[in-house]
Parts: sequence; C-alpha cells; structure tokens
Amino acid sequence: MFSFILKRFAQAIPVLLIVITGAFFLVRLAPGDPFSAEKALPPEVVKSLKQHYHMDQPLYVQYLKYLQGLLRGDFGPSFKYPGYSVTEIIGAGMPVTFELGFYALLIALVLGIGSGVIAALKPNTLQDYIPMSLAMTGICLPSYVLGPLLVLIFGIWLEWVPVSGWGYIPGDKILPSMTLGLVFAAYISRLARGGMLEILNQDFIRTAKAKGVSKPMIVVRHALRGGLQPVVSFLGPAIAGLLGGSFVIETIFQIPGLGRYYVQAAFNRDYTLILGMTVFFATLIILFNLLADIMLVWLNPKLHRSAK
Amino acid sequence: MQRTGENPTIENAVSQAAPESGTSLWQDAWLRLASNKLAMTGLCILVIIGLIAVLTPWIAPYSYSDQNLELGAIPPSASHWLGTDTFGRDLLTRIMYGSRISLMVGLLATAVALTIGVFWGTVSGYLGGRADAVMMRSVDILYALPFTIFIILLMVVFGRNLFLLFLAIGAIEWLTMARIVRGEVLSIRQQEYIEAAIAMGLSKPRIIFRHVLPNILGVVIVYTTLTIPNVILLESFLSFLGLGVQPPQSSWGLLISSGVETMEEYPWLLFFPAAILSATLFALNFLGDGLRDALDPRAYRD
Amino acid sequence: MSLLTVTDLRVYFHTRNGIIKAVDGVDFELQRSTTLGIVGESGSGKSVTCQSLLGLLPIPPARIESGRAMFAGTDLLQAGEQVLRKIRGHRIAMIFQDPMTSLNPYLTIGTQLLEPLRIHLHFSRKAAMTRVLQVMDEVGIADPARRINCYPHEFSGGMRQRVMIAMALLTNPEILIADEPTTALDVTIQAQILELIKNLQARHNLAVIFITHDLGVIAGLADHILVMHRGKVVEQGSAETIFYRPQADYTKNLLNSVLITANPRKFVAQASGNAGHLLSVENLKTYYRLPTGFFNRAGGQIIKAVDDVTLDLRQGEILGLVGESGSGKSTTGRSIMRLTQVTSGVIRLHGVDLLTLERRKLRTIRPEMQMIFQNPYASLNPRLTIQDTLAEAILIKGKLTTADLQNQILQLLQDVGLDASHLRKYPHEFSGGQRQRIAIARAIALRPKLLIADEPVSSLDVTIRAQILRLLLELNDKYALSMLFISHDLSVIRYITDRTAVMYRGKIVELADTETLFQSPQHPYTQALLSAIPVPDPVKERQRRFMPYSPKS
Repeated sequence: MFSFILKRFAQAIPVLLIVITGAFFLVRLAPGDPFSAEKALPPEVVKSLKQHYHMDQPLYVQYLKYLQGLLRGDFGPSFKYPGYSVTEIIGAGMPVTFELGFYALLIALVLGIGSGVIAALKPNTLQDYIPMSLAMTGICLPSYVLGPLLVLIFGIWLEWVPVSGWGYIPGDKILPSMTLGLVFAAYISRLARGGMLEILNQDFIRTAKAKGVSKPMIVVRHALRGGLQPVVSFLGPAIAGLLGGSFVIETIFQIPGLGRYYVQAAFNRDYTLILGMTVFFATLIILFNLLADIMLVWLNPKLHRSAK
Repeated sequence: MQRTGENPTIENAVSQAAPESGTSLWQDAWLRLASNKLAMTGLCILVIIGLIAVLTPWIAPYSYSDQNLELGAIPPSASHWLGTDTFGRDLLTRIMYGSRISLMVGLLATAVALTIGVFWGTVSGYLGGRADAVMMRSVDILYALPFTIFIILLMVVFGRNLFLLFLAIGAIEWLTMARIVRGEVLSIRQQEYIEAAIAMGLSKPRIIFRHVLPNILGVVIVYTTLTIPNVILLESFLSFLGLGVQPPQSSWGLLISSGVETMEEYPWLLFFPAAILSATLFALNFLGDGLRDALDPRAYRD
Repeated sequence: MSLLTVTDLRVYFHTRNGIIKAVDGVDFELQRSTTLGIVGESGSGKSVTCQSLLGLLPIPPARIESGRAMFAGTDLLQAGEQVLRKIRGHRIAMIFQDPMTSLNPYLTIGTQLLEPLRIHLHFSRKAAMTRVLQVMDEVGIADPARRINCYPHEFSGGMRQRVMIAMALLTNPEILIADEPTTALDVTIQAQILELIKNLQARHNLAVIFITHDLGVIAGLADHILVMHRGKVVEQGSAETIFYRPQADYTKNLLNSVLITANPRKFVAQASGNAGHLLSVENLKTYYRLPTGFFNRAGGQIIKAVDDVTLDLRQGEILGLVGESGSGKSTTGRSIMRLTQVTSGVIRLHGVDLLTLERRKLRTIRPEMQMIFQNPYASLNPRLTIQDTLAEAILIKGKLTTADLQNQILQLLQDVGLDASHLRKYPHEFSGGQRQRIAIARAIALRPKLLIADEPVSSLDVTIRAQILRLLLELNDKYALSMLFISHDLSVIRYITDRTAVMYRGKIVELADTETLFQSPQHPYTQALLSAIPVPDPVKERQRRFMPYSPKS
C-alpha cells in the first residue's frame, strides 16, 4: 500500500512539470507584454523594468529561473498590483476559496450520497423519482443560473439570507456554498444511485439476506463500500469542477477569493498572476486526484497487495 | 460431399420457404426507446429547437443587431414576444441566433471529441499490450491536467476565436470518450466471435470495421448524447465569464450573463435564455438516459 | 413428523411480456437428517422453489400465487419479514452456486463469518470468534486463525465454498439448502465438497435440500428425489425408485441423455506412419508474464500455462484433451490456433510449421483449422444475421455468384440440422443449442481439415448435449474432419474421442486410447480424476471412493 502511494506520487511529478511548462510557454506566447498596455512609458524605463524582471533574457533562461523561484515558493511579483507578490495574493485569497469549497463539498457529499442511496433502495418508485428529478434539475441548471435564482428568491423576495460578501454578515456564506454545492450534489446523487443499484443486484447481497442480515445493515455494511466507488472516482473531477465553479460563484456573490482574482488577472493580462494561480490550482487538482485514487484502492481489497 | 446444385430438395426449399425476417437489435432498442416517454419528449424538444436554429435566418422576426434605443427594455408584448433588452434588441431573435451558436459549438466540439476519442479508444483497446498501456497512460496524464484552467488560459492568450473554442472543448471531452470506448472494445475483444473472425483469417481492419465498431456503436451513441450537454454548458460558462463568444453575436451564455446583471429590473432577460438552455440540457440528458436504457446490453445478453 | 412440508407452491413472474409460471404446483416433504435432491434442467424452477421458502425472491416481478410451506408450525410463505429474518441463516441456511460472487469482496471472511453468530445468537465477539475458528477447522480450512483476516479473492473456488458452508453451519441450522453448490467447481474439488457435506450432515443431523442438474451428484447424496421440469414436479420418490424404476417419460429421457459411458466409436487409422498425421505438436510452451510497472512493462511472475506439450493427431481422428481448470487445455487449443502468443515449440499442420510462418502466410492457412467455443452466446456477432455470418465465412475462400453462395449456405444449414427459414434471423433469437449449431456451420463453411472444439457442450443442457455431440460425430464421418476435443467432462470425452490426453498444470500426464485410459488409468492424477466422477447410479455411487491426487513437487 505504501509503495503504491509512493509510486503515484512519483507519477504525479512529471504531470505537474508538464503543466507548469505548458502554462509558462503558453502565457509567454500571448502577443504583447505587460508593459505595452500601459500609458506610454519612456523606453529606458521599459528597458530597465524588463531587465529587472529578467525579460530580456532568452525564454528558456526565464523558464529555469521561474522553476527555481517555484522551489523557493516564490511565484514572482504581480505586474498589475505593484508591491504585491503573487504569493501574497494567493495567500490572501486561499482561505476564502478553501472555505467555500469545503462547505460546498460537504453539502454535495451529504445531500448527494444521502439522496442517491435513498433512491437506490426503492428503484422506480416515488422515493426514486423525486430525488432523481431534482438531481436532473441540478445538472441542467448551471450554477450561474441557479445562483441568481436563489439570490432572487431567498435573498431579495424572502429576505432570508444576505446576498453578497463573505464573513461580514452572519449567514452570508449560506447562499454561495449552497449554489456551488447543489450542482455537485446532483451529479453525486446520480452516481451514488447507480453504484448502489449495481451492488444491490449482486449475488453477495442475496447471501447476506439469506443469512438474516437486516436491510439497514446490508446497506451500510455490505453495499456502501462498493456502491460508493463511482462517487469516489468522481471526486477528482469534482474538485476540479469546484475550483472552476468557484470562479463564477465568487463573481456573482462578490467574494474576495482566488477565483475572482483569477478572472480579473485573465482580463488584465497579469502574466505572473495568471501563471502563478494556474500552477497553484493545477497542483491542488493533481493532489486531490491522487488522494481520490488512493482512496479508491483503499476501498477495494482486490487492489491491495496482500500476502497470500 | 454434396456438390452445390445437385440437390433438388434444396432448390425446392428455396422457392417454397421464404426466410422469415428477424428483428435486429437496433429495432429492439428503438422499440424500447419509443416506449420511454421522457426520452421521446426530450427527442421532440430537441428536434424543435434544432429546426428553429436551422431556420432562424428565415423565420426570425428581427435581425439580431436591430437596435431600438428609444424602446429600451420592455417586457414580453405583442410585437416582441419575449421582450427586448436594454438596447431594444428583440430577445426572441437573440435567443434564436444564440441557439445557432450554442448548438453549433455543442455539435462541432462533440464531433471532435467523438472522432479522436473513438479512434484512440478503438486502437488502444484492440491492439492491447504495450500500445494500449502507452496510449492509456497518456490519457491518464492528460486527464489530470486542469483543463478548465487551460482553456481560460488559451482564451486569454489567443483571443476569442470561435473555432479555437470548439477545438479546445473537444480536446477535453475526447478523453472520457476514449476511456469509455476502450473499455467497450476490451470487453468485445474477448468475445468469442472476434476470435472466430481472427481464426477465419480476416484482416484486422475488416474485423474492426465489421465486428468491433458496430458493437460499440450503442455505447458511443449514448455517450455522445451525454457529452453534448456538457459541451454546451462549458461554452456557456466561458461566455458567461466573458471569455467565449463576443457581442454582437449572441450565445445562450452571453445572454444569461447580461441577464444576471439586470436581474431585478428586467427578470425576463434572465428567465427566457436560462429556460431554453435548461430545456435543451434536460432534453439531451433524458434522451441520453433513455438511449442508455434502450441499448443496455444486459437486456439481451441472456 | 416432517421438518418441512410444502403444499401446492405456485410462483409466477409478472413481466412485461406476460406471466412466467416458474413454479406451478410443487409438493414435497423433508424429513430430519435426510437429503432431498431436487433435479432438473435450467428453467425447471428448482432454484425459485427454494428461494421462495426464505423470501429471497424479488417481489415486484415475482409473486407467490398460492401454497403453504410449514416449518416448525409457521407458514414460511405467509410469514412477515421479521419472522423470516430470524429463520434465515439461523434455522434454515442456504448456500449458492458461485462462491466467487456469493461472498462480499469488500469484507474479510472473518467479518462475514461472525455475522450470523452476532445477529442471531447474540454472541460476544470473543465467543463468536472461537466458534468461527472451530467451524472453519471442521470444514477443512487450513490455518484458520490467519486466514480469517483474508479477503475472498485470496481463496480458491473450493476454499470459498468451504467458507460458505462454514457460514451456513455456525448457528447449527436444522435445514441446509444447497443450490448447485458444486456446479462451478472442478470435478476433484467437487468430490471433496460433496464428501464434506455428507460428513457434516451425518455429524450434525442436518436435513439437506440439494439442488442440481447433475444426476451423478444426486445419486450419491439424496435419499429422496424430486424431478422438476418447467415448474412442475414430474416425479418424486426414493433414489432407487427414480434411478432404477422411473415412471415419467421426462425422467426416462433425462436418464437416457446422460451419456452411455462406453465408447461407441471404432476408429480406424486412415494411413500408417507419419503420412497420416494431420497435426503434430512438439514441446509446445506458452508462458505468460504478469504485467507490472507504470507502463505495464513485463517483469512479474511467470505463469506456465502450457508447459512442454507434445501430441499428434491423425487424419479423421478425434483426440480428447481433458483436465480441470488451470490445466492448460484451453490454452493449448488456442496456442495451436495461434490465437495467443506461443513461447516456443513446433506446431506442424500438414507438415508446415505454424510458428515460423509470417503473418500473411498464416492468414492463408487459417481456413484449414477452425474452432468452436464454449459460450454459444458470445460465439456469434449479435449484429449480423445468420445469412451474413455464414456468407462472410464462405466468401473467404473466394468470390461466388449469388446463387452459388445461397446454395452453399443452405447446404451448411442442412448439414447442421437447421431450417432454412432461420436465415434472416439474429443470434439472440435462437437457443443455446441452435447457436452452437450455427457456430459449427460457420466453422465447417471453410472446409477445414482440423476442428478444435473448446468445451462446446459444457454450457448446454444435458438433453441438448447429446444432439450436438452426435452432430459432431456425423460431421467427422461425413467430411473426414479431424478434431481436437477439449473438455473437463470425462463422460463427454469418453463418448466422443478415440484417444485422450490428460493434462495437469500445463503438462500432459497421460496419453492413451480412450477406452484403455478409462479402464486402466496409469497416472495417479488420472486415477484421481476418474475416481472423482459421480456416477448416476445410487448403488455404485455409494460405493465409490474418491482418491485425491497430491503432486510430490
């Protein structure tokens, strides 16, 4: 098991390297440079700025210097927020985005797994149709539609919850987390239902029933571990989706998180910031994919290296 | 050993007993699909939306750039069935033109994903061994890359090029298709009728085209139908962020994003585009689910 | 006083296509410490009968239309879920056919074994563990203390079935229902499990209901037998009555289909010397390496599937290759057909070494040797009509006019005993036996000299088996078609082959004329194999003693 984890870690490094390299050269490919959009600066100033940022060096030198910086944890300075380094900006936005993502994931898992399992227990009855219809709705309503809708209903008409900000008014974290989480709850719900249904049709469930095991016990002890496999497989893409989704949510709800900075950086052509955040997000996603993979193996005994 | 033509009873048999036609698996599947009301409703909705999209230039009440600034934004009325936006542009027209873009991106990107995915998956699954291992490892690596982020990066770097948009989206979706196709091909490859075909001395291309592909078609159709909504969602997400389609062209995502801004004063600007996007997605998902049930091999693997 | 009395049991399945009468009026009684055997082919309703007793049927499609099943004063068919749950796994235990899928792969066997004791008898964990280890020992699982923490996939098929049996016995049930428990096992393993069940029954005064389609198995075990066909009990009586004085036609048919053990063939070698050898295999080795590593680089342990096999086949001869699972017989067949990579050796067909041929030349020789497979459901492309499938095969040998093609197709259908009206139908519209005939037609369409048959009748019902075997014999006679017949079923081998090779773990341990092999086997493994076959004759079966084989290495 341990060697497997090590192996997967080792496999993740080349991937990360490819991402960093790709992003770096991609960003550099963009026409123009950070200073061209500025109001006309005297050429000597531009030249000395470029020298300061090593931009007069050949590309591969810049690349190597960037890698060196990364190892030190230094993503470089932001071009558009003078005085702030990318590391600082990431540091500022990270806790917010993490919290949002955490709540959303929690909601998604609890609602999704719960409704999916309940639906699987009585397939093709109301107990199945209702959660699944809701789930379908969640899949077909993008978060940027659902969000404003919820804001309209619960924030403006009913005035139950605040509509923007994060951490200023109690309860302002509810709507954004719900919006982000509900969409994923929908996917997870369908996956959980599918996985549980398949397991519940297996022979060993019949054996458990023949042994006199009660229905709840069958579900929890015998079926859950196998039935949730599709959900665990989905965790990797889910995290990636949560990150992407946070861009939208933060924009709609005015949340000072990483997502909003990223979108703005994209518009402002703040290269180091874009690059830095891309690398950061990529590392996160790769890490979570790794964790999800490890969990998949841990859940399935057939994949363990066990001594005979 | 009997020589052909020497046996009169066979000739008699040919003229007398007309062979009964059997029902192919496709016919079986179609019957099953037709009895699934949700899926058929989805299919009808899609056909209608598709027709409207195709016929838009001829049937749209206005041109999409017709502005009427004096009018401003008005709610649904006799002359403008869905109302107008802040520039006085007819919403119905803009939605119709938007559907052309959104559907086109959806279909084209899916076509890209389909082609690459089926090719990659079939070759990888059929060849097996080292080739398969390498091909699938590459897919695994690419899968780990945070594509949404890369697309945003691409859009930033290369500007909002519609063509690039399809390519980029197609380039993400092919991975899942490749994995699924490979899985199917692997299980088909183990079937004895493939071994029989090899034993007969048929060439590899012939085996792939005549025996493998027709049998993975079912799965391919199902996943294609389920990929299209993902693609449309992705396009509208990008447009919403301002990174996709540019005004004055419209796509559903753009319409929704402008609708969000004026949500309180002019709710119809958000409601109608969102409704049609959702309806399309619903229809596609129901159809896809229905297809999956209808083509379920378990139903006819005795 | 009977332990269990079932009266007029009717179970119907209400499906979209109509009502299926799975069980249609079944009555029987089970006495303490006796074994009731329920025998029938697939679809006879034997499994459904027993599953309905414990309420294990999926109730929406299935419905118990009528009947009573009295056990200890309770009608099992009317009892509520609460009552049934207390009986299941406690007083009536059930074991199933496939031990691979019947055990939960996600839990250790320890967890699964402890369950019945904790649920029904409320044992403490410690007390339960003691009892579990004791029972594991009793059913013959070595090293129970360590194995208890293992997962099902770490056990062999026979061991897994022992675990299932242990699980059933923990609470000292009064009735054990065994639903085809040995059908999926090798014949030598089957012999061990059957002996185990017999011993346990004697020791614990267990009443056993044993369901099977194998008349040999039932002959040795059952005191009382129920013969079922299409949901009805065709006949019931003591073992002696059923086997020696059957009344019903169906029973008589069933007994007759079990193959006559003596070999009806008299094979005369066509020509003497090497000129008569169609196929000659020397030192064939097919080794597999288990993949390891990131890119599946070969480097793991080696599996010697075929380990230095030498055999030869003469023109017109039928050579049998017999062995249990893992013996390498199927791999040998597929190696000869070059459907799998061969490690080393010589395979000569008509004097041409198949292993040195380059791919294009190999393809031109392929029509000379064809294969038919075990699974008739996967042998045909489900998307092609019979017409298309056969036409494709015929046209390999060259183009034909439409009329000629049609004639050849019809001739093929006639050869295999199928009606011309079936031409435009698809495989899923045929039964297993018919599909096998179509597969045979496809194989002989190429006019091969050699036909390799890999377990062609193992998936078919007993009554159909005989028909297919007779068809193969006809074709062998009519077209001088030599055959390599691979099977694990010794009675089938004895019926159809001229000579037989016995395989064990990749090697041929004995090769002789079939009758000689059966009457005086030389190698201890052959002796073990033969002694393990259950004979469908109660008196003989009870006298049979199984002699297990243990290799010295």
